[in-house]
Amino acid sequence: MKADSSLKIDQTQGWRLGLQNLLIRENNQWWKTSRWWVQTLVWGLITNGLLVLLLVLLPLVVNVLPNVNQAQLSTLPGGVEIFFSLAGLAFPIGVVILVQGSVITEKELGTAEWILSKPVSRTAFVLAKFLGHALGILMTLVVCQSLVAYGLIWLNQGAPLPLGNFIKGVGVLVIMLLFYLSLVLMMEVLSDKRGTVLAIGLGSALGGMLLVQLFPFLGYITPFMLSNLSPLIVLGSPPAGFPVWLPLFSTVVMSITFLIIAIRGFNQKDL
Amino acid sequence: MPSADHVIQTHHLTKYFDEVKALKPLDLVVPKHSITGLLGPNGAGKSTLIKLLLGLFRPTDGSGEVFGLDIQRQSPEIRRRVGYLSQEPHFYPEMTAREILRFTARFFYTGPKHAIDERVEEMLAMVGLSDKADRPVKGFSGGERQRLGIAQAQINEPDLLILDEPASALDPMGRLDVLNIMSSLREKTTIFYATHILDDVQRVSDRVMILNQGELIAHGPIEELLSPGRDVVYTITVEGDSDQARKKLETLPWVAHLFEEPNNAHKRWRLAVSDPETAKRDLLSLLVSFPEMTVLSYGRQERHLEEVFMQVIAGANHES
Repeated sequence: MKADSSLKIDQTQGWRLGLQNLLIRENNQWWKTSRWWVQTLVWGLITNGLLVLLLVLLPLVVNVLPNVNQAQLSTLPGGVEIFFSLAGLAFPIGVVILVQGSVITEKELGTAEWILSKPVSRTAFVLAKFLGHALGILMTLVVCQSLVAYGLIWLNQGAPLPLGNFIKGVGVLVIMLLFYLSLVLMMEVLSDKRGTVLAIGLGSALGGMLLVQLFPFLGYITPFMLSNLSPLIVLGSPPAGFPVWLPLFSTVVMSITFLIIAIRGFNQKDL
Repeated sequence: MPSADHVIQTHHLTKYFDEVKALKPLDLVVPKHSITGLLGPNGAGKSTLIKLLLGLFRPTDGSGEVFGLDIQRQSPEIRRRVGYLSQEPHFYPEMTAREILRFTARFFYTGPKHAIDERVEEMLAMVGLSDKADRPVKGFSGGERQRLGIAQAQINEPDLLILDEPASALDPMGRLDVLNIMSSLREKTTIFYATHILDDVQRVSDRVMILNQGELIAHGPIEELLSPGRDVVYTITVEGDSDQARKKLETLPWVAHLFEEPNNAHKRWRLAVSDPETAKRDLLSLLVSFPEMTVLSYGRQERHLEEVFMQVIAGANHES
């Protein structure tokens, strides 16, 4: 094979073959389209929009309305509880919606076949999807919304939250969202049906808490309780006697396992 | 043993999808610098074979080598030296032709952007898409998409170009364009392509392989398949009572087949003969020796690939 004098043949070997190029493409999908600001806006409205409504607008409305017991206002949850509860519920749904179809569409359209007829490793194909979505989701959903929420709560309370604790709470959210990302990606590789992927993804995001209520031990080994734990961590009052590290550790292990299954499954798939 | 003269070699390469035998144990060899047409009806296993060679499918059994490299264990190395155009090329619809080619080139090359862009320009010019380079491909016609497919397949100047039905979705002009591009690449690369358009194969190929129901039923240089050593076909139109003559012909050892087609008030026979010399000497005199039948026309047909194809497919189906 001849090459132009200034062109050099890419000598990358093994699982990294094609990763850089694919990652650029995945990042372009997030950052060179309207996706990043649309997602930032949508999930911002859902979480911080409601936060503003409950923290700022509701007390204003209550103040001007007659016959409302002002004492009831004090029973409303604080900003930290509101934001982390909303984020813990809404962001996993966001991850499922954003990631579903990312592999199945490529299989259906034939673009996966096209890409993999080039010197590209299948591991790189799956990793590029994971890393590209992870960056996009963490920036638009977690980092952006958390910064806004931190500012809003500061303004509302007149004093900043302890930054270290806030970062730990956000870290719990990150671990939880990476779990859903790897779960959906694994399902995308193993199944060719969007319905199955959505059912399992949304089912675990929405039904996880119900499962924990039925089988409390699941709270120790799944991410389903993490959305309840994160505000407690931020407020510096984790539940006594509850090993917070256990569901975190087990969620990380499950996420890595899902990712490995996705990679192995894709390596064995006929395209 | 892989040979330096062979680009593709398979040994009992097999692919089953559950109960469906898409490719029965296949042994084939594709020599260097050939244009090999892979023929077969729909579902014959052409695309399956191509996908196995590219590592897109995993074989059920058997093995294969491309450039002497194992198709399972060394697939990425093979794909560095191969250009592939799928049956219906699909690209990211929001990308322009230039972006598609730049993206493809980055899988093969590192280097400054201007060098990549030079290669991209060269490919766009080769397939006549320079003026449409900055249009998103979602607005491309089938022909333009196909040409872009050839450009991306050729971007790494591959030693082997694998094309799956490169002209099937095109109008006659588009087909001609694709065939001309293939002919122009003949000097630089080996081309292995699947098609069901027999005229195209006869026009540009040196070798032919015919697959049917997952089996290789005929292969060889095209002139050998069309050679006079094989069956020759006579077309004869007769009127009157031809039963006796037909019965006589069917008993002759050098008559391979006799197909009778009604032709208005006449009958048209297509007579395949296995001994062309005897037929040339005896056939006409035999026909005119039946007084109750008149020969209206008589001629020896040039052999076309279509005829060979129909014969081997019919023969294979009959045997199975």
